[in-house]
Amino acid sequence: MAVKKSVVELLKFAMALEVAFGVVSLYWDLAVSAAAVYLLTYLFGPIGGAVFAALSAAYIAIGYSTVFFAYRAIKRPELVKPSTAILWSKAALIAAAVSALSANLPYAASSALLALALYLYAKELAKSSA
Amino acid sequence: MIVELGGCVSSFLSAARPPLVFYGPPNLLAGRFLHLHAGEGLSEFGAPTPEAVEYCIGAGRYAEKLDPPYSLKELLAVLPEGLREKAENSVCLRRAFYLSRVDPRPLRRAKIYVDDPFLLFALEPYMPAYAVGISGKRRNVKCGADPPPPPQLAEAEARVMTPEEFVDFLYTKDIFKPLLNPRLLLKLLWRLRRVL
Repeated sequence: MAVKKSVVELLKFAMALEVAFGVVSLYWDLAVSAAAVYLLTYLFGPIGGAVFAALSAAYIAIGYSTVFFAYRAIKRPELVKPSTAILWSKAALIAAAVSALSANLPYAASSALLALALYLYAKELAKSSA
Repeated sequence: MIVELGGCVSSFLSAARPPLVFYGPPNLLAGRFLHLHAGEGLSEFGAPTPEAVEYCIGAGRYAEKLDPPYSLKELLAVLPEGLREKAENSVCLRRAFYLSRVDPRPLRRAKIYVDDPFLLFALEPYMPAYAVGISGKRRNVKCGADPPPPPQLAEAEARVMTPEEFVDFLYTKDIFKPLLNPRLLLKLLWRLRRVL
């Protein structure tokens, strides 16, 4: 499994950015979602708040799990398949889109970079296993 | 899903809307068809459908567990002992891997006739696939009122993507599909559990 070194370096860089901005924006996300949950619960009752809480939990989980996947790709590349790399790259893209919509631009940029790195990683895997 | 046709196949094919792919004897054709050929080549990376793997080594239900794209090595990892040796030496399977990377984009508006079953398996995910002589869901078609028009065949060569182009193709094909498709979303959440 010979993945080009530059791609792995890009993946490491993107993952480091993702972790840094992820920790910073976690507080922001929690504050915003707590406020929104409070407001929605006030307006629409507990169901409205619960739906928003579930959505923001899914968003935070997607963001963090892409980091975990990138970590695994760096540490144990033999376990990573092209199909899963594509899947997680798309997940990172979704996280980037949601972050951009919620005006969290640094995190959106780092997620987009991680998506790009995982996509290049999938291509490298494809090239080496052909 | 490949549908095996019986009865008045030619009148069914002339009335059906493109795109479709048909495998069977050419005397059943009616109307304009693109006769698709494929170049030589073997590979160990692609996305053969379970039907193709079933056709080659009879292990379709193991291939169902894999998401496209996958490599021969990944397929070997999920096969049981007896089938693994068979798969390792199978030229048929390598051919299926190679042809699964056929580019379907230029073929989206055509009725296609193939005489190579691998091309039928490769195009089946992208368009309705009909066959005579390959078992699938059976369907008996009724005869139309008019006699079917005589066949016209245009020759064409299938373009096979390189592994990298294939990854591009799979990536851009359905970029936001995981959000719209609840089954894929659940699969994503299931993966989450394994990673965390």
